[in-house]
Amino acid sequence: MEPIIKVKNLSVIYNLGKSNEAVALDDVSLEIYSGEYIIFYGPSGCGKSTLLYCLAGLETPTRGQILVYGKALSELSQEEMVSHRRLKIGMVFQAYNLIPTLRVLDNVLLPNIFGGLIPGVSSEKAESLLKKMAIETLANRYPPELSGGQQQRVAIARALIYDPQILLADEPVGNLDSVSAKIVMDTLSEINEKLTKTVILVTHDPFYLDYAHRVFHMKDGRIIREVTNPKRKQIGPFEEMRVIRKAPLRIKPLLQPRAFAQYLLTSFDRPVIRRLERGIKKRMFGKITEAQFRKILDRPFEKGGVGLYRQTAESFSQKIERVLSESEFLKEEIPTEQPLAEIDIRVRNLRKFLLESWEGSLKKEEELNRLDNFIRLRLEGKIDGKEFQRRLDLPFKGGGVGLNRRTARNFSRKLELTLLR
Amino acid sequence: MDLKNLIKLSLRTFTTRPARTGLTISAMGVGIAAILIFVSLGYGLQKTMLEQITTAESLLTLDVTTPNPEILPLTEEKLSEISKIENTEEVSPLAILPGQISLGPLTSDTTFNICHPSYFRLGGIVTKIGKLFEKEDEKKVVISSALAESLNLEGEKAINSEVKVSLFLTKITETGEERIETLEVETPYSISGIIDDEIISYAYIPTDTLKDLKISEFSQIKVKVSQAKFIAGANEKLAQMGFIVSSLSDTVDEANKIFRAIQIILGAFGVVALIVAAIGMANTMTVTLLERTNEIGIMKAIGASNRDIERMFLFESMAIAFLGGVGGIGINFLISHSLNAIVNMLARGLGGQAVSLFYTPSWFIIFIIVFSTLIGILSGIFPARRAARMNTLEALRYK
Repeated sequence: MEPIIKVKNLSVIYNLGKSNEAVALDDVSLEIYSGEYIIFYGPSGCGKSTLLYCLAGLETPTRGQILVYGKALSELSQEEMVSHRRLKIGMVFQAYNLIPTLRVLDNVLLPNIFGGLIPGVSSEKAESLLKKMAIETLANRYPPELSGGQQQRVAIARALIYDPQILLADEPVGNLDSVSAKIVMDTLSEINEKLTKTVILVTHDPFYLDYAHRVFHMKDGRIIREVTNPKRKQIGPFEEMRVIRKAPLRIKPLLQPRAFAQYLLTSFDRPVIRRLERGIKKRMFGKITEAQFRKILDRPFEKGGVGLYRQTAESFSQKIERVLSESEFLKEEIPTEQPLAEIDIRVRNLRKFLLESWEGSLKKEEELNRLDNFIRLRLEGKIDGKEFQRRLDLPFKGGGVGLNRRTARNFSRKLELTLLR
Repeated sequence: MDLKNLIKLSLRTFTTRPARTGLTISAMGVGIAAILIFVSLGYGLQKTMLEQITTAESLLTLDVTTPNPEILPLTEEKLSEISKIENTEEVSPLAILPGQISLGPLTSDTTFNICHPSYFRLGGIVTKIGKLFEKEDEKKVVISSALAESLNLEGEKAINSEVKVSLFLTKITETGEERIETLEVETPYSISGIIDDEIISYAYIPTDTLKDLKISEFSQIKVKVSQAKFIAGANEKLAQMGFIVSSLSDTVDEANKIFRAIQIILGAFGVVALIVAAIGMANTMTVTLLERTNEIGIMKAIGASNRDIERMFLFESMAIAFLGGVGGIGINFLISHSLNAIVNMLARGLGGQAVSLFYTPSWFIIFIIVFSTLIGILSGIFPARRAARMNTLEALRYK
C-alpha cells in the first residue's frame, strides 16, 4: 500500500540568512495513507500549522520534499499548483475564512467561480453539501449572520466542493465553544469514515486526539513522537502500539542566545533584545548567578539593564533557569563555531547585510547557497557587478536566485558600494 | 472565471462600500466632465464661428485679383481662360464702381459691387434682413447695414424701399486725359436685403441691369473648383498666370489651427482634473487592496490563480472608471446645456443671436468612454498585480 502523502526531511526556515532566522520545521519526515485521520499535535509555535500549509502548497519548504500522489509539490507549475489546491485538497481554517460579502451558497461555490481548465460543479452539489452539514436553510444568508459552528460547517462544505481526497484543517474548532466544537469534530470524523477522506488536522487541544488514527506530537519544529490510536483500526502498515517513534528533544538551537531571546520576546526593540542576549550569554557560561541575571533583566535600560518589569524579569529568569537545568550537556553543546576562512566571513556578513535591508526573504536553502556563491564570485572578481545582478535576477530554474529585478538591482548596487569602500 | 462570476465578484464593492465607490466614480466623472466641457467648448466655438462665415461652397472658392490692373487687367478673355482651368466648375466676376445712392432727399456716397447672384453663393455672403437678389436682371440692390444707416433706413422697413443709383465712370479722352462722368440710372432699384456690416458702406447690384455699360474689366473673380482637393492645384495655376489668389479655405485652415491650439489648451486643463481623479482612483484601489488582503489570501488558498485575482481587481477598477466616464458624459451634458441656456438667455436679452457654445462630437464621446476605461485599467493594474502576487499565507494572516 502506497502512502498518498510522503514528506521527506522537510525544513522550513523563516528569514533565511538573516540574523533573525527562525526554524519553523526541522527535518520532518512522515507518510500518510489514504483514508487516515491524522492529527498534528503540539503547543503553539511548534510548527504544526507550517507543516499543514506545506502540504497545502502554501508554504515553500527550505529543504526537503513533499510528494502528494507521488508528485513533488516543488515541481508543480503554477497552474498545477492551483489545481492541487482546488482538486486534491480542501482547506479548513480556524477563522473559517469565509467571504463575508458573499452568500453562504456562493461561498461554498467560490472555488468553482475561478473556472480555468477545471470543470465546473453545479450549485445543486453545493446545496447537497450544505444539506449534509445540516445547514441547507442558511444557503441565502451572509456568513456574519451565522454562528461560529455554522460558519465552520460552511467552510467544510466549501472544502469539499470538488470532492478532494484530502481535507486539511488548521485548528478548526479553536474558535468554537465546546458544543459547536463537538458538532464540527463529529462532522469531520464522519467525512473521514463515511466519505473515506483523508483528514489531516492540526490542534493544540489534547481533548480531540482520540478522533485520529495516528497523532504526530510536535515540538520546536520537530516530530517528537508518533502515536497510533489503539481504539481505531489502523489503515497504514502499523502495528497497533502506542508510540511508534520518539525523537530526542534537540536542545542545541534553543541554547543559542538569539533563539532564547526570540523565545521570550515578541515585540521588543533591537537594543533591548541585544542586551537580553548578552545577559543570557553570561548566564549560560556561568559568569553570573541567577540573582545577578535577574537584576540585569530588572534594571532600567538607561542604567545598562534590560528594563523589564520585575514580574517579567522573574518569569523570564525562571523559564531560562528551567531550560538550563534541563540541558545536561550545557557545557559540551556550547556552539564552538568552526573557524571560517576570512572570505567566508565576509561573504556571510555581506549576505546578512543585503538580506536584512530587504523586506522579503528567501524561501529555499539552495537560493541562499547560490546568493552566497555569487557574492563570493563577485568578491573574488570573477564576475562583475552587472553579471552579479543578472544572476540574482535569473529565475531559480535557470540557475539564478530568482529575485525580482528591482531587488536584484538594489542588492547589486549595495554590494558595489560596499566594495568601493 | 466567466464574465457573470467576474461581475458578481468584482461589483460587490458597489453594495459593500457604496459611499466610497460612489465618491470615486464621481471624482472620475468630474474629471471626465472637465475634459468634455472644455473640449466641447473649443469645438462649439469653432463650429459656431465657421458656420457664421462659411457656406459649403464658399470653402471651395478661390478669390482671384490682379496685382496691377494696368499691366494685367481682369478682362473677359482672362475670365474665359480661367474658366477653362481643370476642375473649375464655376466662375463669377465682380466689378467695383464708385457712385452715389439716393433715397428721397438723402444721398450717400458708396461703392457699387456689380455681380451675378452666383457671387453671393460662392462668397458665402448672407443677409441680415431681407433676401439677396436672385435674378440677373432684376432691378434690385443689396446694401450693407452701414449704408442703410446713412440712408436713415432701419430694419424691415428698408426692404422694398426704392433708391436711385448713379455711377462714376472714368473715361479716357482722345487726348489721354482722365475724365469722370456721372451716369444716372433711370429706373430706380428696390432694396431686397441688408448685409450685416456696420463699418463699410457698399451695395450689390446685378450685372445685367447695367448691360449698357459694357463692363469689360473686373476687380475680382471668384473661382469655384469641384472638390476641395483641387483647390491647391487651381491656386497654383492661377498664381502662375500672375494673379493674386486667396481662398476662404486658407483662412478656415488658419482658424482651425488656432482652434486646435485652443482645444489642446482647454483639453490640458481637463487632463489635469482627470489625472487627479485617476490618482484618487488608484488610491481607492490600493485601500481596497489592503482591505481585501485577507480575502485575497482566502481565495488563493482555496484555488484562485494569480490571474483570477488580477482580473477581479482590474475589472473592478475598469467598471468604476467606465461608470465615471458615463457619469462624466452626463455631467457634461447637464452643465453645457444649462450654461448654453443661460448664455443664450443673456444674448437674446441683449439683442444678440442664439448660439450653441458647446459641441461634443460623437466620436469624442466614444473616445472618452474608451479612454476612461483605459484609465481604469491603468490605475488598477498596479494594485491588481500586487494583489495577484501577494503571498497567500501572509495575506491569510493579515487582519
